[in-house]
Amino acid sequence: MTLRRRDALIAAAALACARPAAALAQQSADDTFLERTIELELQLAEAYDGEDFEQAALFAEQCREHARGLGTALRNRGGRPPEEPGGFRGGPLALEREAVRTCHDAIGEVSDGRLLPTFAAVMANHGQHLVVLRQRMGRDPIPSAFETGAVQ
Amino acid sequence: MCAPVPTRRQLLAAAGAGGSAALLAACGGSGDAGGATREQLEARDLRLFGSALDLEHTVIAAYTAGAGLLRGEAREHARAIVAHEREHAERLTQMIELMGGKPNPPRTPEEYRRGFPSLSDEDDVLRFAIDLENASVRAYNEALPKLSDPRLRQFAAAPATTEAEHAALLRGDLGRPQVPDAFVTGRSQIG
Repeated sequence: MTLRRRDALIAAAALACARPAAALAQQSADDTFLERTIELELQLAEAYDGEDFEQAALFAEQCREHARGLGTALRNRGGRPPEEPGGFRGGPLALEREAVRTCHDAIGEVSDGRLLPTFAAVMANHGQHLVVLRQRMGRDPIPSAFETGAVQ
Repeated sequence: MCAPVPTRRQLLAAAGAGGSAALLAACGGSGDAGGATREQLEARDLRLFGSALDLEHTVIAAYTAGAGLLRGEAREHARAIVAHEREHAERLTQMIELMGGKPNPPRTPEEYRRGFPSLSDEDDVLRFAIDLENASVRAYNEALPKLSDPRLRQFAAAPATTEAEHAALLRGDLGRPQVPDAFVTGRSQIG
């Protein structure tokens, strides 16, 4: 083998390795968003289980529905959904804002376009939960024209 | 090779979203590109934002047409909502211009009214407004996977969520369950 041919083969092998590595890294980033959101959903469901207002049970069930849906998406990608809530802190309002923020971040960063409608539908539901929570607390229910979870 | 042209950068700044999406933004992302050229993708972005702007104008006209029939809290909510819709319209107009497009101006109030259902009381207005908010959620969310840039997608997700919030608020004014669906796509059968 001439030096030139060997160099070319090494370069081709490096390229072949690099492409799947990049793809894997991106898949892993998508999976991380799914895992993080599932953990948040489980934590929110637990937080609502401890609340006694009228819609709390419904909101808890909706969060569990999100966790199941996102878990199916993660399993279909070869991942394993978390079964325990994450270590996030705060009551329902803070957790709902974190859920909106996480979905918003995911929409800007996931590489698998098939995940976008799911994250958008989950984000919008958490926005609606925020409206009810803010109303209960006597706050402005719709404080921002661009809901990203950033406004208190 | 991956760097956006200045106009694109201005556009992305106008989208109001930042952070670690920058690399993806510069190199393309997860959108439904389908082998289209950059020009074709940008033309599609423009069409999607143009449609969103047309819908925002329609929603503003609907709230204006129904404002006289609203009372008390519903009236206050509608005022806050229409202020949001105006912000959406302004931002979309700005972005369309930065993308090199020409935003459609709103039609006349009379032209809008001709396409609206008959509104005779507060419940009519609220039901119509909820339908339009749902249509807006649907429009933004369906545009998401088609937008060529991650930060444009982030931009669209924010007003989509706000429109969903409006629908929840108005459903409350109507005495309906405020959050009937776990996955909010704007296609709720419940309203």
